[in-house]
Amino acid sequence: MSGLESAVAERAQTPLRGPNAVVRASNVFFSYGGADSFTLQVDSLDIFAGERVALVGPSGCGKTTLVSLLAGVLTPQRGEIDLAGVRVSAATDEQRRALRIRTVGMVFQEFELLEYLSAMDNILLAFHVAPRRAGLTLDRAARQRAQALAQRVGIQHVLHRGPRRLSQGERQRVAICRALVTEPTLVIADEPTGNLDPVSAAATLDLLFEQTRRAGATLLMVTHNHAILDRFDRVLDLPKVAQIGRPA
Amino acid sequence: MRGVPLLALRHLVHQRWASTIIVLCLTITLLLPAVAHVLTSSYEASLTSRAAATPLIAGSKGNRFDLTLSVLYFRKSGVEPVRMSDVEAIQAQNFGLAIPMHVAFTARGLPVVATTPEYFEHRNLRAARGELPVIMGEVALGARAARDLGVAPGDFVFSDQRELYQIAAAPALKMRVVGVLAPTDTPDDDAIFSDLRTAWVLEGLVHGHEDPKKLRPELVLGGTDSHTVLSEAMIEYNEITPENVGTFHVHGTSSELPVSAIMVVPANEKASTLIKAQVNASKTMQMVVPSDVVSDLIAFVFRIKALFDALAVLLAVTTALLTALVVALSLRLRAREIQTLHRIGCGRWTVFRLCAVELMAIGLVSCLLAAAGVAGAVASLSALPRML
Repeated sequence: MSGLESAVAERAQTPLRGPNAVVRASNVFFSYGGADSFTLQVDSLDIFAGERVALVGPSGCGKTTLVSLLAGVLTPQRGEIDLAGVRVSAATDEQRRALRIRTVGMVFQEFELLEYLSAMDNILLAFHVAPRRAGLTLDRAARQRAQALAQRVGIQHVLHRGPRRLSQGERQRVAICRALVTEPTLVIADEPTGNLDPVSAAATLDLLFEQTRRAGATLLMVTHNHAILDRFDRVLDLPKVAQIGRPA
Repeated sequence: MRGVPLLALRHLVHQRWASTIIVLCLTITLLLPAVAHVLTSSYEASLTSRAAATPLIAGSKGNRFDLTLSVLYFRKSGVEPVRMSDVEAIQAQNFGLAIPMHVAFTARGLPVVATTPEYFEHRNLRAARGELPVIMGEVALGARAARDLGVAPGDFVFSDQRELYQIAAAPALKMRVVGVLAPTDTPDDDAIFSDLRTAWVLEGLVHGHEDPKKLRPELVLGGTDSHTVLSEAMIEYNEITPENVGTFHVHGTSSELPVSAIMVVPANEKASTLIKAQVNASKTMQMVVPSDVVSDLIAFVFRIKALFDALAVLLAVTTALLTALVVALSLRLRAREIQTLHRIGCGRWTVFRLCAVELMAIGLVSCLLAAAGVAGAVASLSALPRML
């Protein structure tokens, strides 16, 4: 049994932390055509409140596609996906966007900070671009929350700077603050440690765990880094939880 | 500021050089045709109104544009002068008023317009300060000329010397300013008006000097009982004063004295037709209708303007295409940013609004700059008569 398989096997037995499923997917089927056609089928997948879940699998197996489906970025052709109690698979695009910006915080591999905004405005980005129905208002409370998060992760002194004037670690912290400032139910981190050395990866993970725990959020993290899997409550090996189809 | 406007503004500031270049391109595209339109419209209005206020112009045969512009805008023309006898001949027909005009000289760079009091009456010119010139050597300045030269009634202006190296030529004349005309926003504001005889003094055809009997003997070369021949070494008066005005005299007959052109104000339509026919029948003179000449001139100008309009359209299309290209490339460069915005859940139209607000801001700034440029062009229109 490989390291990955043992980690998955072990973590798959870990008791769930909360009784309520933040994400529930059943009989989900998604495909796209073209030269590199691809299908993904997930019979059943639940992620519960407060869980820290790692999603692993070989490159191109559909990890990013799956988290995009769960977050409502993509819509499945069949099946149901519930996010925070809302049937996102049946929601309109606008409804899904409003739900996503309100209940999902995202951390990307390259952080994807907007170069022309200060660190503070990057943290508050969701408030700047949220659709009206999302109910996110850029008020004093939001700014105070952003300040508090920044202070907690130690970047309060660089909030006025643009991303180009931030170190890699500071950019990473800004991205984490941006994901948490809306007080999301679910934080999706898509390989945030992918480009980092082991020490930085561990520090990032510490930060994510700590901040999601304090925020009471569920963490779903896509990763290739097997060395950190034992820190998660559960590890989902995508080829095992889904049927993946690719052209021969 | 918050939301999409904040993002749009920050992005424009972040891309300040690209934004500035696009703004400048759009500004120039908007400004050029607008200014051309304003200038040509004003040019047309100015020419037309001036021409309409000048019924007929008589002068020597030659370039009718030159003749017309010499009377309307006091430009020196290459058209030969006519004689006072021609003025008297037209006047004798009793078809209307004949106003002689002499515009061959300048003083401190401004045209010296020598004419008769009827000119002021016809143009409705009145003295805002002082009085109108009625005596040789007196001048009244147009409002802008007086302001630019900084002179007032009681001051003096010297005529410009035409022949710097001909010491026998008439010297520069010291002319006394007796009045400043009220502003009219016409070329009259930029002119120096004098009595007709002053121009002949400037020509050297009328001059004044000491009584030959009192001159030093070496300055008297000879003579008869009725004529005295004087040496060119004798210095003529270069200022006409109450004391020496009586010594000024003309050699020859007054009817042969030159004038540049004759402004004719016919009594009625019939008189206009008759006087035109009579003058145009002459071998040496022509009568032009300024409004017709100006119409031809404007038609020529507008043919050129049509070319500029076509170029402006080409420029606008080119700028629009380049702007579209820049926007398309910008969207391509911002693909990751746009994808990030979609993934975090920003509204469907937010990205569209973001780009639209940026384009609108660029367009707005360009329009404001172009409007400022047009306002500047309009403000400089007061100089238009001078440009003509």
